[in-house]
Parts: sequence; C-alpha cells; structure tokens
Amino acid sequence: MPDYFAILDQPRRPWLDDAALKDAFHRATAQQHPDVAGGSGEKASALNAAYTVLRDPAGRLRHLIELEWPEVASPSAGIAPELGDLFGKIAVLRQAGAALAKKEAAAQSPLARALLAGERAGQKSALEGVLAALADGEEAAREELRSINASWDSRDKATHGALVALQQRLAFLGKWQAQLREDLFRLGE
Amino acid sequence: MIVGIDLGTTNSLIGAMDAGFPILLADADGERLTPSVVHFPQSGEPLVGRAANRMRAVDPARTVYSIKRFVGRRVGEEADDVSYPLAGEKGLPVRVRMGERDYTPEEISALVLKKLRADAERALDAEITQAVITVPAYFNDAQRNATKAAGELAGFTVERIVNEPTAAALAYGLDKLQDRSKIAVFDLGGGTFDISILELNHGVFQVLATNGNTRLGGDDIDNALLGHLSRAAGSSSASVVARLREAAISAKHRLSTEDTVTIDLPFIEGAQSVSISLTRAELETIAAPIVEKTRWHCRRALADAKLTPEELNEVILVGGQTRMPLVRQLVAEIFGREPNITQNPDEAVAIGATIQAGILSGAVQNVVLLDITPLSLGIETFGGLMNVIIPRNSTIPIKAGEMFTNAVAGQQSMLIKVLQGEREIAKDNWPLGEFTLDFERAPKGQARVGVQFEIDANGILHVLARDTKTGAEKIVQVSSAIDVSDEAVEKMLEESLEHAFEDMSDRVFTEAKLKSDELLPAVRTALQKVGDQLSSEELTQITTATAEVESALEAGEPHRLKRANAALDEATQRLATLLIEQAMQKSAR
Repeated sequence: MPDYFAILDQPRRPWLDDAALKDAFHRATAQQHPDVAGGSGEKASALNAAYTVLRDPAGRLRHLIELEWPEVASPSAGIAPELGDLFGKIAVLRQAGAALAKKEAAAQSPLARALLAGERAGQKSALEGVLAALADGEEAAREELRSINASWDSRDKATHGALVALQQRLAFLGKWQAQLREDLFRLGE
Repeated sequence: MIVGIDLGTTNSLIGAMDAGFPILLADADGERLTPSVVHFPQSGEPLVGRAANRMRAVDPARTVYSIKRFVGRRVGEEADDVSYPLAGEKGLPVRVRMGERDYTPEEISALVLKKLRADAERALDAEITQAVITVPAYFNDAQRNATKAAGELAGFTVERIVNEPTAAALAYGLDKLQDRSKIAVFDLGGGTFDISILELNHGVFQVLATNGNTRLGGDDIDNALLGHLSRAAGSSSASVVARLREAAISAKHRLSTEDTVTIDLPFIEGAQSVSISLTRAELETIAAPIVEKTRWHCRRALADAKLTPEELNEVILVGGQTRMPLVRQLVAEIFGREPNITQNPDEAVAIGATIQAGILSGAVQNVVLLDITPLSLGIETFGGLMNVIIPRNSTIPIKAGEMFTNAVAGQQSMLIKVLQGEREIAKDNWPLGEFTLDFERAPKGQARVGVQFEIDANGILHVLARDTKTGAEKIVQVSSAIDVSDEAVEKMLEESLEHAFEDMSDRVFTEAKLKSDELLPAVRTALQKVGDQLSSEELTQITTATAEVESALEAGEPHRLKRANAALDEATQRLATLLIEQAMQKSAR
C-alpha cells in the first residue's frame, strides 16, 4: 500500500491543515507533472491519488488507520447514535423529494408544474435545514479529530477505536451532504 | 520549436513562443484568423481558409465548414443540416462525400492544419513538426483521439491535446502567477460550449470542474436566424439559403453593436430582390432559447466545484459568440457579476495553446496546467448499468484499477465494454469501445485479471491488463466503438424502422389526451387559488381554450387536441406565474 502522507511530504497524523495540504500538492505538482523536466505521468498520478485521499477527512482517516494498525481489522460501528436522528430525517426527506420529482416529471404543462411550486419551495428549505445540521455535525467531528490529533503522540488501543468510530461518522456525514447537495441541485433545474 | 494551435469550429489559429512571449502567426495575407473551411474545386487542389470561405455561397455543396461537429461522431448522432453531402451508414463514422471520394472529418481537419503549418513555416522560416492542439473541454475520448489523428495526418507529432477553456485561463493568468484566485472561463464558440472553473496557485492552474455541450454554439444561432430569414424571404431553395446564410452571419455580427440592420439581397431568384429588416430584439428572441441552454452547465460546474458564484474572482469570456450582448447579460445574471472581457475572444485559446507549447519545450518555466477528465469513465455491468471507475472532474493523469474474476468454472474470457458519460443506464452513455479479457482455466472466482484504466494528461484512455498469477502485463487494444460490427448496425437500422411503422396518429392522440387529462384539473385548481387576480379578458381566454380542449377530446381528433393543449398552455401562462409568486411569498414568510 502506498503511503500517501509520505508522497505529499505530510506528517502522518489525523489532522492536516487544508490550505497547507493544497500548497504541498501544488508545489509537488509543479515539480513532478509530466509537462515539466523530471516529471512523469507515473509521479503525477501518484500525487493526484494522494491528494484525493488526504483532502477528504474520512478518506484520510481510513488510510491512516490502515497504515497505523495494519494487522487489526476495523470493527464496523454502523450508524453512530448521534447520527441516528439525522438519518431518519434524511430518509423521509429524500423520499418526499423522490415523490415530488416523480410528480414533476409527470407534469407536462407549465401550469401543472406551477401547482407544485409550493411543495418545491418547502422541499428546498427542508433540504437546506438538514444540510446546515450536517455541516454542524461535520464541524463537531472535525473538532474531535483535532483533539485526537493533539494527543496523537501518546496513542493507544483506545485511540484506534475512537478513530474508527470517527472515520465512519465522517464518511456518513460526507456521503449524506453530497447526496443532499445533489438533490438540491436537481431541485433547482 | 513546438507550435500551439486552436483548431476551431469556425476559425483556426497558430502561434509560437518568441523571446518568452506567445505570438500568433499571420499567413501570407497578414491574417491571423484562418476560417476552418475547405473547398473542393471540380479539379485541382482543395482550397483552405479565406479562399475556401469565399466559395461558401457560390458552391455550397463542395465547401466544407464546421467539420469539428463531426469529428469522432457517428452518422445519426449529429443533425446533417450542412450544405455539403455526408456519406456513411447510420452508426458508422461520418464521411464527407466529394465527387468520387469520401473524406473523414480527420482528413478535412488535417487540410486546415496543413495550411496553418505551412503559414507557420513561412513565418518562422523553419520546419515545424511538433504541435499542441486544443479541443473543447467536454470532448470525449473518441473526439480527442480523432483530433490527435488529424494532427498526425498533417505531419505533426501531437505533443499535447489541451482543453480550450484551460488554455484561455493560461492566456489570462500568465502574468498573474502569484495571485491566488478562482476563475470561471465561459467559452461559447461556433460549435461548442464549455464552462471551466479553475484555481490559480503558485503557478499551478488547477481545473476544479468542467462542463459543457459539444453541440451548442454560434452555428445554432446562425441556423435559427437562417430559418427566420428564409421564411421572411419566402424561399428555402438551396441557392437562396446559401446566400442568406452569409447575410445572416453578418447581420448577427453587426447586431452586437447596432440596433437594427437591413439585409438586402438583390436579384435573389431571377429578378426578385429581397430586403429584410432585423432588430437586435428580434435576434435576441430567436437566440434566447439557445443561449439559455448554457445556464444548466454553469450551475453544474459550480456545484461540482463546490463553489458559489460569489467565491469566484473573475468570469472570463472567450469564443466569438460571447461578443453577443445577450450572452454577456446571461453570464452576468448567472454569476452575479459583470464578466471580464479583457481577453480577445478569438485569440485567447490559441495564445494559451502557445504558452502550453512553451511549457512543454521549457521556454516557459514555473507554470503547470493541472486538468481534469470531463466525463465519468466506467464499464457496463451484467445488469446493463454503468459502473463508474473514474468519476468526472478527476484530476489527470489518473490511474484506477479494477479486478475481474471468472463467474463460472472454466470461463475462458470476458467481454468488457468501456463507457463515458453520466447516465445510470449503460446504453445511454457514449460507448468508447470494448475488449476481451482472457482467463486461465480455473474454478469459479479463482482466475483473476487486474485491469488498469489510465487517463493521461491529454485526457486519452489507456488500458492495461495484468494476470495476477503470472504477473504478465499487456496493453489492451480497446476496439473503438466507432468500428461497430455489421450486426450492430443492422440492429440499429431495424429499431429505427420499427419506430417508423408505428401508428403515428394513435400515438399522437394518446399522448395528447394524457396531457389534457392533466391540464384540465390543473386549470380548475389554479383558478380556485389565484383566479381572482386575473383580468376578465384573461379569464375569457382561459375558458375559451378549455372549451376547445374538451371538444377536441370528445371529437377524438389528435392534431386538433395537440393544438388545443398548446393554446391552453399559452392562455394559462400568467396563471402559472401567479402560482409561483404565491408559493415564493409563502415560503419567504
């Protein structure tokens, strides 16, 4: 397995500063892109793969866990209890969205579509509300990540468990935000 | 020396680095812009560029323009509304028929490229063999390969295929290397539209997202205007249309700065003369539905880049069609700011291609373009779905591996179909080609072949298969989807015939009735909600239109019902607007 932290010359830690990571990626690209002397497609694809994984907190944590505890199988924690509530809301919201989209696709006249405008506006503000809650959830998860990062040098078995749970939380939050943003985009069509 | 070439739908340009600066090279007449037009006289060598363009109205059937639309395309995918004859069976690559000989779009493009090459060799007094050629960012793998082939036919080694909006960003940003900024490049040319969003940082021009439509451009506006003018002239004969086309294009250009133009065509058919007056407002009514199509792509690119318009520092306009005031208004509305028009819309892409040539030759230092692949790459699954392997907007070069195993014991091979596109159903995407993987004889799930998909810095796909047991690697030849088998072509033909023989009038009525069944109750509900805000005149119009739909339904007349539905749609326009306003007011409270 490649060590993406080493490829981008980053410390192997849970927390990386977004701006510093981007700078490191751009600096390395300026040296290793196939268009410049000494660069190659091989080197550039490795940089791209590393940046794609490290810039996403969930991807970065999964990679870090694999590097740090290669022999320990990570338990699957399922949906964390603090996310259970949100998950219920999202499921209901997306069902309503799908039903609305179906009605809109079936509507052939501008008038029939206009009759759905109220429902559409309601769906939009509901989506925005849940997206805001998800962003708060992600901020809280990042805060936790920073605190694990602060005590990283004295990491132990408990750190492993905490990181696995946090990784899954971040992965769910990321996935849901992407889904709802996509729903919001389609609603604006 | 590497040259940079903008191979455009309407015009092409060539440039080279000179003492650290990109310069565009002029031909013997001192012109930098070469029309991408080739004329085939009855005898003798083809004419290219301005000389060919002059023959467009005189000999439309032997003058090839806008060939870029057909590059990498199959018959049936593109409307064949051009004045020169196309050849080839449905489903096979498009050919242009000139007398006894058929030309591929690559061959026609190569003629344009050869002229540019000769002009550059004359201007630089040196032999030129290496080139960077631009393509629309939204070109797929087949279109990129075809463009590369055109360059090779013209005697070039194609050092890089670079995306047009990315090149334009380079032209804009080369003197702003230390800035950290985010820009959008809105590129509406003669035949294609691209929107790209980039971030400039430490000399790296990183594309964050791109979107577009390779069949949307100024040509569409020309065609719509031509339709309007030929109706006004009362003639659609080929010779009149050829002359009107020239007049339409010139009128469109003039209306970017003038409010009214008069199109005079003396002695158009025999002794008859035609004089048509056209206002900018009329042109805008004709062009609006076409220009409006760019909006969705801009929203998509912004959403993919996870940016709001306010987070952008600049919106750069390139492509000749962005001279139209209507286009600039729409861009200003979408992005909430006045667009930056400092770039010469015809030249920015060629200048960027030249700078990229300079980067490759080492003449330009400390600058790198980091581009992305515009379309998702995937393979077809057993259920006929698209399984994405490399998502759209992934930074290139990129590699992605996929493991394939035998589904039954002793299975010897597996056919893999490679696709590009964003649709869930495999067949709705663009088929890039297919290849066969060979398995060793082994129990179920034991034979394993790893396949690596690589998209290089040109945006072109390479496939490598590795047998996990022997470790042997081989480059897989993906047979282009463009050489489809005879069987596949026959099937496509059969399907199109099936549709042709369907009972049309029955279907028209069923479809129209479905719409009426929806529309009638919708009108009743809407009238209850906001009917009190309508004038009595509007109410009468709606009542009349409703009665006509009901009576056409009863009479069972398909085309009358279709017309009546359309009239009711028209009559209820304001009703729909009122409903939307009411919904907005409610949600704002």
